[in-house]
Amino acid sequence: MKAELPSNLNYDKIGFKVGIEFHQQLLAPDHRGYSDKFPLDEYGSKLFCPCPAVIRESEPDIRIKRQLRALSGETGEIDISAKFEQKKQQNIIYEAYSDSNCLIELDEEPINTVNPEAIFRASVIAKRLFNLKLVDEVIICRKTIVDGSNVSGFQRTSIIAVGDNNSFIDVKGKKIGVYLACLEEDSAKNIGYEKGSRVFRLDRLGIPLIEIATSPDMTTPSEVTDVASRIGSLLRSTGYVKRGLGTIRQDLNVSITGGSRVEIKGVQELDMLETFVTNEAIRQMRMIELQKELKSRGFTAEHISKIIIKDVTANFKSVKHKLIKSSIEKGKKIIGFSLPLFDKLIGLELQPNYRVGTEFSEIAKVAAQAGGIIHSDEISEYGITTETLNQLKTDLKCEDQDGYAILIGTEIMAQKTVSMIQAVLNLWLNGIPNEVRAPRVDGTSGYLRPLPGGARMYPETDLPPISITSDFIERINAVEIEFPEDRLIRLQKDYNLSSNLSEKLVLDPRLAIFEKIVSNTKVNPVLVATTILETIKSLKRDGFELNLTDDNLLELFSEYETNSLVPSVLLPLLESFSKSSDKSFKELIILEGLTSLDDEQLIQIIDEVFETNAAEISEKGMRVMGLLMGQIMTKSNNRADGKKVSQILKERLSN
Amino acid sequence: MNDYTPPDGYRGALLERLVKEGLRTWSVVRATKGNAVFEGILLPRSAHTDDRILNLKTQDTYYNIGILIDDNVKLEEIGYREGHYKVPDVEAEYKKELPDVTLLGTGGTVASRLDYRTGAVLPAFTPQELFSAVPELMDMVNLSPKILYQILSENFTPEYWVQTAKAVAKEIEGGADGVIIGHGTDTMGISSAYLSFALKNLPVPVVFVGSQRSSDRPSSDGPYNIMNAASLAGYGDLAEVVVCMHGTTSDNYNLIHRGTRVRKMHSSRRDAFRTISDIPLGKIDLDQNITFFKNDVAPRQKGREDFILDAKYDDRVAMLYSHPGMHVDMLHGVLDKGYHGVIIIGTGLAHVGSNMYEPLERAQEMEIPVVMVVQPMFGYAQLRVYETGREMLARGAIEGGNMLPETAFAKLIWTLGHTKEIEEVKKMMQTPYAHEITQSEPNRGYSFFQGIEPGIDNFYERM
Repeated sequence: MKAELPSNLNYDKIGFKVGIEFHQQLLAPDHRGYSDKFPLDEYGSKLFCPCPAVIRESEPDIRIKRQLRALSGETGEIDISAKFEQKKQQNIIYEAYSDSNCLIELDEEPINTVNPEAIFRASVIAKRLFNLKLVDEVIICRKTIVDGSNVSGFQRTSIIAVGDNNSFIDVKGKKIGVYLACLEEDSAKNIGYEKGSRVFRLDRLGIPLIEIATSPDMTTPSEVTDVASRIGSLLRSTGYVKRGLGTIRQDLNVSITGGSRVEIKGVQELDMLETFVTNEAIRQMRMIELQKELKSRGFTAEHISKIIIKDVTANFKSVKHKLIKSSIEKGKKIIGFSLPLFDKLIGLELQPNYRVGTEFSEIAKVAAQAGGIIHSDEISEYGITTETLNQLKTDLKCEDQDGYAILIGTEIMAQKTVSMIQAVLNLWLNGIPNEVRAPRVDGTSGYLRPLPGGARMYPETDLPPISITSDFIERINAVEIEFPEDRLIRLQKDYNLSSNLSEKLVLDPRLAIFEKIVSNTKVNPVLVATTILETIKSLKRDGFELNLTDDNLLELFSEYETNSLVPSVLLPLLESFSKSSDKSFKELIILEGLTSLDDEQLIQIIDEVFETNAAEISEKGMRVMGLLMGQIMTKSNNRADGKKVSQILKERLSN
Repeated sequence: MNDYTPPDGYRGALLERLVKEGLRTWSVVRATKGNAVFEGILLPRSAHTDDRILNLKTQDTYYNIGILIDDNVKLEEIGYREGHYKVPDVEAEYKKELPDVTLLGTGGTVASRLDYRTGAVLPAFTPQELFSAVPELMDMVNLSPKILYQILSENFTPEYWVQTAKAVAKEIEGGADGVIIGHGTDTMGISSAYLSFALKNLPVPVVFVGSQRSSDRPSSDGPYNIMNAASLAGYGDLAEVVVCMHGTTSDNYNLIHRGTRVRKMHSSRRDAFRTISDIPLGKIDLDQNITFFKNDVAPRQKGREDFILDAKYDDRVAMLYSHPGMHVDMLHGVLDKGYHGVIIIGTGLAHVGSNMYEPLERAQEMEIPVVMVVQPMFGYAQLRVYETGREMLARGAIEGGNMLPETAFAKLIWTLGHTKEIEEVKKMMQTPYAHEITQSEPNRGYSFFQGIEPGIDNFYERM
């Protein structure tokens, strides 16, 4: 089989279908709690505990060690994916912060009742933006996840609304069905491995997430981007969501005819969505070909059970290759295992630069944190003699059509790896398995685990169900909803903003403070918008530390109005604030001498400037306007109103 | 449909409707509500919730949802899919080289399952199912699980302590190398205290164990506690009644506490169990290495002839908590109702307000023992220091030393089962039988860190 990938896919023909599960962190301040350090209005609260929903930069001060084991769900079965994770049983280290995490995140205390603002905001989004039907009772469920990302061993999640045939969004003229909205808790962040233990950080655990799930209505990769982008805009337009890196994650469910539903989990970058879904379509096509070939070679469960594992370190003692040599010197072992009937198939490309062997390598990483494997279709690149390879084949009892691989590490790692490869190959016997894949930086995806089934869901025992009352629904209906496209028109019409400014402002979290400033003061909206969106940004870019709260901005513009300031003082005023942010703008205006000039002062400055430049004026007339203007502004410490100055100058110069 | 049973937990109009439609638990139901169609398995309903809501487990997403059913909702059965709760029983193979350990199950969260109707955790796991949940046990000891009761620990009574003690004795006489008692954590420390008195000259370890975080969560401390308890019961060179629970919030090691000195000091944490006024007896780590910290540990005995079951009791014992403004009729009431003994948890060194002198006098006249223990939990009852204490002693109050209140309660119940003679009761209550009163308190016996001590971050990290 050739290792070339198909180009120019005909998506119609292959039956390409994608559904998105769009996960977005909610900004949901729960004022039953408080945080001095991380104001809840700014960060929001967690879903089941009083902690602020803040992602920390500093080093954690709590470290604990735990282990998890899968249990049977309420139907008595242990979930397939949970069982699978349990095969990887190991210590898990959790890191947390005394000043923003509590015993609930450490799973040392039963959860609080649900953050009411989270359930409200999620319901508004579900009902008002996506036209979903709210359930009458929210039942918090536990979704068993024993990979360590949830301290309890499960993620709490609940359906808050479901779709009917009126639940859809319109994306470039196409109806995309939306069938589900869930409210759930975010998981802990995996920050790596430490001596074989997975390390997670609890700052992210418990942040409320809304999940919006679409029907598999996207039939081309570009539609996936359009839909995700639209859902993102709709969510941001509410001001109910957290912003910034890592606040959005998408699960992409991809299938093709003859393939299966496969989930690519947790894609963060919008501009990578197309690559991921395209590569998955290609992978499923290649898997179909691969399975056909295996079938023609007579591949069965018996072959899978006959994989041979053997310590072959001795065979490699004289190999010069740096990796192999240094590994053996460090006391690591070279473990070989056979891959019956896989000769020449291990090098088959499933995705760009991602071979069947890469898939096995990914499994080795997932199963045993092995660095990867070296397989028979690439081993010749390692400068190993034919004799060594032949000996290896003999040791592993490989026949002509068999492939093999080696793993550098321990026997246990090899056993874990092979046992998982066997589990996966058994699934391959029945077509393309439903599975969950992890996105890789290059746009391909690596094997993660089988797609979970129903046995992993059972009700949260620490909380009774929550009734959705008619009062609650009235509150939801009373929320004013403005779709982004309507808001854009309003911003341009009501505030006279340019299309550039209004497009920047329409989904900006500072829109609320903009509107508040404009309604509380008579300052020109264009000036307010420019300051908020551009001036501050450019000052930050120039290295000024400017952390302006909404209250700071409101004070800035009320003082601007009260003191009849001119636009040109805003820049020096903000610069001054960045140096002494403990002072109010009122104080800074006086301190920096930025109060506006009265007419008398202005005329005096102009007179002085005319005097100094008398010669030039008489010579050049109107053409010295710019020069004079500059001198006047400097002399007035930017306090002169440019418009007024220019008017006076024009009058005087024309006389 | 002769074998029709209505679905559990539903009431009122909705129940009538479900019966009329012939819908059962595990029916796959289609509920049509306007445009929306909900399909799922009908689940039993929790009793204390809105009676108009139908619970379905959806068949595509597996979530549980609640739907309000009114006359406009169309209901139909489109299938039937019965759930099976049971974890397959695993039969353990007897291994001659391993010690024989009996696990007596009494209920509680080390062995609990989930109940649909209340949506809460209830004891339901059979001990056999433990092997399925914790297969490691099979390679550690020959464990014979037996169910004594399936009750929550708050429902224990002294009668249950006695039955438990008898059951332990039977296992010991039957040759067990150790006994584990699976117990709800709330009153574990009181049961362990009673058994400490009732099982004399023990030849083998008797280990209480439970789980603080429910066994229906993958993070439960139950599996590790039971493994450590099994190992301790099977191999520990120890012959005392002990509690074996997590030592820290991590799955790192379990502490071994004396049954009379242990107290649940947190409502939910894994490391809730602490030895009070002393250091713990020992610890057992994840590799099942046992380390003893005390040098007076009673060692395992080969012979069993000295072992005595002394499970007498008289449960007419009251316990009062002294507080500012306590009315005299609290104690009068106890005397009026014919109780045979009283534990008073006194303030500070074990004081009561002077208004209580009068009912104390009455108790003295009635020859009802009143035993004083301390509210601060740590330290000794000292009635000779202040005038109040002396006035109390003059009225017959008995100093309970540094007995924990619950231990004193269990001990008085045990003591009154032996004698009602006031001087004899006093003597027994002040004689240590199972380290319930210690000669002195080591400085490290009081380790209450406040979280601000220099180096404490590092200290907690190392824990």
